[in-house]
Amino acid sequence: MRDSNRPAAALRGPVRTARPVPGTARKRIRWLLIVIAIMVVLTAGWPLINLAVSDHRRLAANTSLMVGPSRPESARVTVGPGWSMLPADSNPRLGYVLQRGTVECTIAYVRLIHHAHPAALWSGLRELVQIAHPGASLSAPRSVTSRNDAEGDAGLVRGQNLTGTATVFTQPGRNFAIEILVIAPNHFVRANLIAAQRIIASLIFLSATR
Amino acid sequence: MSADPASAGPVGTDLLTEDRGLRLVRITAGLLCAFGAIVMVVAFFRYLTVFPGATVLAIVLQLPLLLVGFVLLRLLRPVRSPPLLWAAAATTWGATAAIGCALLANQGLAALWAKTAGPAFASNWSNSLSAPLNEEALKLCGVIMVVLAAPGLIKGPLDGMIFGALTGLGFQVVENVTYGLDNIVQSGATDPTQAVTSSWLLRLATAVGSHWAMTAVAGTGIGYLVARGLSRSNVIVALGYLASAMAMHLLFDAPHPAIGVKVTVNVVIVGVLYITLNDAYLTRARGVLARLADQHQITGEESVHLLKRGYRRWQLRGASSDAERARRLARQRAILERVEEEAA
Repeated sequence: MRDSNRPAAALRGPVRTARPVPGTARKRIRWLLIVIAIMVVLTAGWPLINLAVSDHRRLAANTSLMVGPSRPESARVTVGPGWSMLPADSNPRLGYVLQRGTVECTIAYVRLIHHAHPAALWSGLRELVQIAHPGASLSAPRSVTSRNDAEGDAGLVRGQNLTGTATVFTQPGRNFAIEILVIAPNHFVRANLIAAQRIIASLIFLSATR
Repeated sequence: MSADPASAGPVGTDLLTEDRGLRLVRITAGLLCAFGAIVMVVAFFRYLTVFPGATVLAIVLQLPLLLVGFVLLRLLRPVRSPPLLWAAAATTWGATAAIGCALLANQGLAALWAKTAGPAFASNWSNSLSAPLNEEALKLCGVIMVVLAAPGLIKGPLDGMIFGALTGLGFQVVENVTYGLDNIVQSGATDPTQAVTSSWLLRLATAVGSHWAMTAVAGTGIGYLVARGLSRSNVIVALGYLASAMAMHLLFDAPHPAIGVKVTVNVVIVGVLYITLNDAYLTRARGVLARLADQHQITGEESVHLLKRGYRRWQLRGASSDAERARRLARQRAILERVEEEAA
C-alpha cells in the first residue's frame, strides 16, 4: 500500500478528454437567456395565444350533453336556448361549464368511493363549493326529483357577491353522481337562473334507459 | 456621454467575469424556482384550508418516493455519486420551477386543444399532446441550468442522465401530490383520505416509468452536448434524446395502450440506455486506471478496485491517523477526478 500513500499531485501527464473547453461567461449568459426564453415562451405563450381564441361555443336549443366516462356510467342533460359552452373547461368524461348571460352552470361527474352515502356527498359538495368559491356557503339539502325521476338533493349557495344553487343526483347503483352548480352574481337576470333550473330538471341517468 | 475608448476593454471584461456569470445563473435559477413554487401554492392553497388533513397526507405519502428515489438515483451514477447540493438543486428545479411553469403552460395549451379541436377530442388527447412538449422542455431547462451553474459537474451523457432523472423525480413527486388533490374533487370530496390514498397507490404502481425515466433520457442529450460540443450533428443527437423523452411521455399520457404496457416500455428504454452508457463509461474508466497503473502512478490494486465505493471506504478505514485518512481521501479524489474527466 506504499504507492497508494503517494500524494495526489503525483498524477502526471495530460488529461485525455474530448470535452470542449468550458464556456466563457458570455456563453454562459447567452445560454441562460435561451433557458429563460424557453420558459417564458411556454409559460406565457400558450396562455396568451389561448386568450386570443374565443372560449364560447354556442349551443343550439335542445342540445343534449352526455357526461361520464362510458354510456352505462353517464348521465344526460338537455339545454334550452341561449346557452354557450366553455370548451376550455369542458370535458365529456368529467363535466361541462355552460354560460347564459352572467349565470354559470357547472355540471360535474363524480365517481363515488365505496358507494358513498348521500349525506357524505352533500358534505363533500359543501367543501367543493368552498374550493370553487371561497367564502361561499351551502344550505341544508332538500330532496328534488328530475323530470326523468332521477332523485337528488338541492340547496342554496350564498356568497359575498354571488348566489346560486347546488344539486346532486346520485345514480341508483350509487357508483357515481352528477353535481350541478349554478352560480350567478347578485344582480342576475331571473330568466337565466330559471333556464339553469330547466337543465337540472332534464337530467337522466343513461343506465336507467334502454 | 462618450466612453473613454482606452478603458472600454477592461471595463467590458469586468462586467462579465466568470464569478458574476455564475452568480447571475444561480440567482436566476433561484428566482425561477421561487416563481414555480408560488404558482403551485396559489393553485393549491385552497385545498390546504378546506382539506388540511388530506393535503398533508398527500404530501407525506410522497416523501418515501422522494427519499428512496433520490438516494437510488444518486447511487446509479457509477464510481461517485453526484454532489448532494447539486442533486438536491436539480430535484428542487423539477419540484418548483418546472412544475409551476408547466401548470400554466399546460392550462394554456390544453385549453387551445379544447377550443380548436373540441372537448371530445381534448378529453382523450389534450394531456398527451400538451404535457410532453411543455413538461419535457421545462424539466430539461433544469439540467441546462446545472450545466451553467456548476461548470464541470455534468461531464458526459451519463451525468446528464442522472441529473435529468433527479429533475424528473422532483417533478413527479409534486405532480403526484396534485393528482391526489384532484382525486378528492373527482370523487366528490366524499372521502378525501381514501381519494388521496387510492391516487397514491396508482402513482406508486406507475412510478418506475414516469417523469424520472423520461427526463433521464432527455438529460442524456444535454450531457452528450457538454461532452462533444455544440456542432450541428451533436445538437441533432441531443434533440433526438429530447424527442424520445417526449415520445415516452406521449405514450404514457395517451388513452391507449394499458398502463402496464406504457410503464414497461419506458422502463425498458431508460434501462437499456443506462446499461449501455454505464457499461461504456466503466470500460473507459478501467482503461484510464490501467494506463495510470502502467505508468506506475497508481498501484495495480487501485487499478482494479478503485472504482468500487466499498474498496475506497475500506482504504480510508485502514488509515492509521486522521492525517493519513485525509491524504488517502485526497489521493482517491485526485485519481477519480482524472478518471471521470477522461471517461466522460
